[in-house]
Amino acid sequence: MGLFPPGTDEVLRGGLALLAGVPVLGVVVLMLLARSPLGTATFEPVEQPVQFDHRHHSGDEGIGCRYCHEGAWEGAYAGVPPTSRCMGCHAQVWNESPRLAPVRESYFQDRPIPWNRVHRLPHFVFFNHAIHVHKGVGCVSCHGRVDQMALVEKVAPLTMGWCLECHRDPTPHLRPPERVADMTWRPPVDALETGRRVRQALHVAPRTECNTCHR
Amino acid sequence: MPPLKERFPLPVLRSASPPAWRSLESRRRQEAPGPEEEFPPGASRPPEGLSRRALLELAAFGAAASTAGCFRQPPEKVMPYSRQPPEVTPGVPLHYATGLTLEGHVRGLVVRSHEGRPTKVEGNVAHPESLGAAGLQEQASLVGLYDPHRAKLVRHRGQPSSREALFARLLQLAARKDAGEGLRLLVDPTGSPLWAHTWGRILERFPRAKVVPFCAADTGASLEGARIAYGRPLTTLPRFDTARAVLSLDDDFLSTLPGSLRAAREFSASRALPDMSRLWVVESHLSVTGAFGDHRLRARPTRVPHVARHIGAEVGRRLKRSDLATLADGAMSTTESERRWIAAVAADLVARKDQALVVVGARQPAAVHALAHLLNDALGGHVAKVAPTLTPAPDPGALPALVEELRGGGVDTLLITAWNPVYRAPADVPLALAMGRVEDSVYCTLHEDETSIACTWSVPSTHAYEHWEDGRASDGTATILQPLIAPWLEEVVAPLEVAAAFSGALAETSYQRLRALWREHDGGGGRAWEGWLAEGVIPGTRLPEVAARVDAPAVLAAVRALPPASDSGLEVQFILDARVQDGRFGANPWLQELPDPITKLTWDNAALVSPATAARLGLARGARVRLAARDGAVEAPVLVLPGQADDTVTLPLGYGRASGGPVAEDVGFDANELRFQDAPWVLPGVSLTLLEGHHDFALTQEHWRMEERPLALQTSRETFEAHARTLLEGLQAPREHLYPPVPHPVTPPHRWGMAIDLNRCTGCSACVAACQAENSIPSVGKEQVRKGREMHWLRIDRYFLGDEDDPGVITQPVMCVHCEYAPCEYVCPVAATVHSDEGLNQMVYNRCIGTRYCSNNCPYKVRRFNYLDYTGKNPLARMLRNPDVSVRSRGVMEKCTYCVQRIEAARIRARVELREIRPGDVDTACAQTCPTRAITFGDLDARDSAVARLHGDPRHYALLNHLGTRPRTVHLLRLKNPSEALS
Repeated sequence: MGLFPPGTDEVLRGGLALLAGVPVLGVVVLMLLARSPLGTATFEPVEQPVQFDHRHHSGDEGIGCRYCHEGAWEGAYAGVPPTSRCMGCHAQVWNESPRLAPVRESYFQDRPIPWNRVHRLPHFVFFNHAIHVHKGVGCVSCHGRVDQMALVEKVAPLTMGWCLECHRDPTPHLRPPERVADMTWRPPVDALETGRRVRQALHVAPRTECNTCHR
Repeated sequence: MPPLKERFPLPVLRSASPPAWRSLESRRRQEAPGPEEEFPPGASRPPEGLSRRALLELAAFGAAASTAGCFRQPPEKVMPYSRQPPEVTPGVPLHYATGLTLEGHVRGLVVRSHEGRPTKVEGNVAHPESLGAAGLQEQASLVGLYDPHRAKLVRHRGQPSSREALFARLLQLAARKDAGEGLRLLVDPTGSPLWAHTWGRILERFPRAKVVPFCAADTGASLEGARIAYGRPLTTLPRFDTARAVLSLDDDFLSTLPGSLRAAREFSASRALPDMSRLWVVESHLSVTGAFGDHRLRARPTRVPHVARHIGAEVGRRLKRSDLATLADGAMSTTESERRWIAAVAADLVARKDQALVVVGARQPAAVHALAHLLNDALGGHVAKVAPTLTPAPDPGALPALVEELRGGGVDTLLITAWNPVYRAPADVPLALAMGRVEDSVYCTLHEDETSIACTWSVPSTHAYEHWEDGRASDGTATILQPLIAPWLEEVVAPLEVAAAFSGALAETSYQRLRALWREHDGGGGRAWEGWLAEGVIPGTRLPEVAARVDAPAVLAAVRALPPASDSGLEVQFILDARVQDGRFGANPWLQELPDPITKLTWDNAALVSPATAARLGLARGARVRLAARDGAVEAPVLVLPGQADDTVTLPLGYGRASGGPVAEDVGFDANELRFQDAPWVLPGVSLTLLEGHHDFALTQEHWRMEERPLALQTSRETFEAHARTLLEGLQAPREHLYPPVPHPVTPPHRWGMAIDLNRCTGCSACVAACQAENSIPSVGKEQVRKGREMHWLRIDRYFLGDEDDPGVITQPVMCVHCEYAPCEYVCPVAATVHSDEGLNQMVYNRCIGTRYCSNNCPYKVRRFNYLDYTGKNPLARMLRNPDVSVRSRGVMEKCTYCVQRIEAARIRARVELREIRPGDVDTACAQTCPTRAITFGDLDARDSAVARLHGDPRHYALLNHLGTRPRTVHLLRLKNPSEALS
């Protein structure tokens, strides 16, 4: 019998492998975790200072996205509507509801309502709503069925890989521009064929250069 | 295969221009090469005041914080408007026409505003004094608006008071019964009709009050000159685009306010082949105009008027005007070379007849201005004349008279709206002392400065972008100056409001007063008003030209009466600093850090002396000297500047502030201590003593050098015309490259490129400030500049050519040239700098890990590294930033992007409208602001593309072409138009 029992080598090798493997594994796990819904904060309804329900406004009342988020058609930000927009209706309806007290307070004191952001991009990313909306990318493609959400939640990871997926092959995601804000629109028969036609009509040519989003 | 050295020989063309050098020191090193540091001392040291350990701790904290940020975005609030203004869409900027009053005259501007926050200033194309360009001070003006060190409190005798108390006292003072006997106003002369109206009202109510002009920059010589020549004061509006021979007598018309933007635009247009103009300059210090001139005569300041007299006599002789020719009798004696120069310029002026133009600088005595009027008239050229617009008329005698009154004790109320008169007052006018005798001296100011301390009421003033005013350009064109933002400080008061307390118009706002004043001009019941605001000019307000005849005998008598030139001893000459002017921009860190166009000095001023004088007196760069004359003295560090007249010390004004905020204070020395009321610009008989000690300048002239290769090129018009095809061949043809060809997209959407015409670049540096504003570039401070860490993406290299005493000068803007084979891209280990399909060398900040390999491998030295966090956490600094550009953190490399945010914005706009990007949709910030249009940017593939035409111009060349980098930015050879008579 030698100085070491048989199997010492294996234990040693195993130990070394573990030593080398754990950090690598750790990094891999962290990277996966960062890309998981937990890391990207998807599917988590975000509480808001006003109990605003998209199900009611968008779903039941059929108010179009553009009524409040008109900025999406004009510039980079879809924007949250000013309190005056809320008061346009709520000066007449539900004008004494205690739920709307923060809205009235905001309007009469001329102070903004501090909404909690749901979709946030890092500061070095410049996303522009207008170009997407005008090229036939539907609201629902990135924001999901907002008309079915009591509290809005993120449904897409908004990672660079996810963006690039569509930028490299946008055709299946395109819809006629008049259907952009339609929550329930489905391509008639063939999504690809519809997309192809839209692509041709609107000259859709998404770019994948770094400076397209990073400036 | 032949060795690399032979395949890639260094560029030729040494013969085409004399060897260039960046500074005297580098030139002497060239002559006697020795070991030389590549980087300024201390370039690699950590910042002072922070130990290495603390730095590591901070770095570890930063790393932890950044990984935390990687995992999940921290929560954030969205604050929408409660009531959104109808014209605002968040994220879509709006543009408003307004203006800035500089030296009493308005420059029209268009200001970009993001949700009510002004973020960028551009020139107004419709305004005659801007023509779409904007200068340094305008580009940096927003820093002044968001300055955290602005005066915030109304103070009474140094103690915080309130607006209510101030106005209560003002109304008390306005209820006086002495007809204004004890009321004086000390003001900056201005062209503003509203101010003139307000002062008129005050004088109506108080007939014995006085409105006293304070003039530091314009001492009234030019108006006095016109009075001698025409019998009444007139303002001349010379046109440079039609002139073909221009003689500048100490007139830095390419950079002095006002009118320089227009003059530079017109003059650069006259420099095109084949009928190129010729510029003759007589001056004592090297100015931007002198540096651009074809022939430059260095003369001591007191000799300049006499050189003008000789030129007048010579022109008279050649024109057979006997009265003019007699000026030679009894004139100062001249040297042989001066005589040749004078003969040559006179011959050129006479040959060009009505295309000749003589201009005179504000520093020259009135007689020289009068002589220029006579010469222009004799030569037959037409120079437009208009009635002067400034109220009250500049009068250098007004301030001493006021001080006498103050000392006499007859004045109880002094209202000061002039900028910092205590600091700017001549050494022999004890204004601060005299103000002590005034019961109520009220001073409206942006910063608490020297005058705030001397007065009883210091009133924080609104910034020019925070109140309503109006003003006139020098040709009379009026502009309504609309505010861009509500005052962000609570206590601030518009200076007009303080004056209104005395004019009895306090019941109305300045907006209402402005509307009322202009109602007469606005025939349509106020409908034109909106148009004026949108356009930025009021049509039909240009002043009519005045016809006047020159009174030749009066002019000649005045010229003969000029005091004789001093022939011995040192002379001191005062100039306005190119950046801080008379000091009013001293609190602006962008302007402090901007390298002076000629000296390349930052955060300082210096006593400028010529190399010969420095050698004679044993002075070197940084030596401390004491200059004394009469009972004034000033201690200053010396900077040896080639091109300076011998035995002349030039002192830039505007520095050495004792008070006025942390940026302005303790920078440079105060030359006013040697300035006397009877000698505002030139002081002969100055003694100089060498002091102990050494001053360390923050000079950028030797930073970012490209190893003394011939880079900025110029040649004479004749040489170029003779060899147009072959001259630059070696610098134009694409060279072989070690790397495989870049895969080119089959249909590149655009091929962006730039051309910089050195024949138009005056080196004024407006582009540097514009780039800084557009790309949110921080200023780093004197200490960091000394280490070579300035962050300007765009630098202007200034080279001297040839002779040490009287060198040629060439300026060359250099920013990232966007190489097709970019050396930086090959060495980046993390692909943080990559090429786009449109030829942009993209910098991806969030990938950069800060190895700085790219910067080391960049032959053009255009990459800038954030050694520290320069961006600042001050919320006001954030107000200034362009929201379309990333904020770069510490440890990240950055560089010129060709203003990619503007390209992408134009692309989105075009694509939304289902069209192509049209020429004119995109312009970089530097190209947009350039007064001479030296920078052209655009798509090389577009039809009728101006930049493509310049890329094909025989004058174009690629910088460091032998490296095979194929830069997308090309430079165009500068042409000089020397006279045959002097060759």
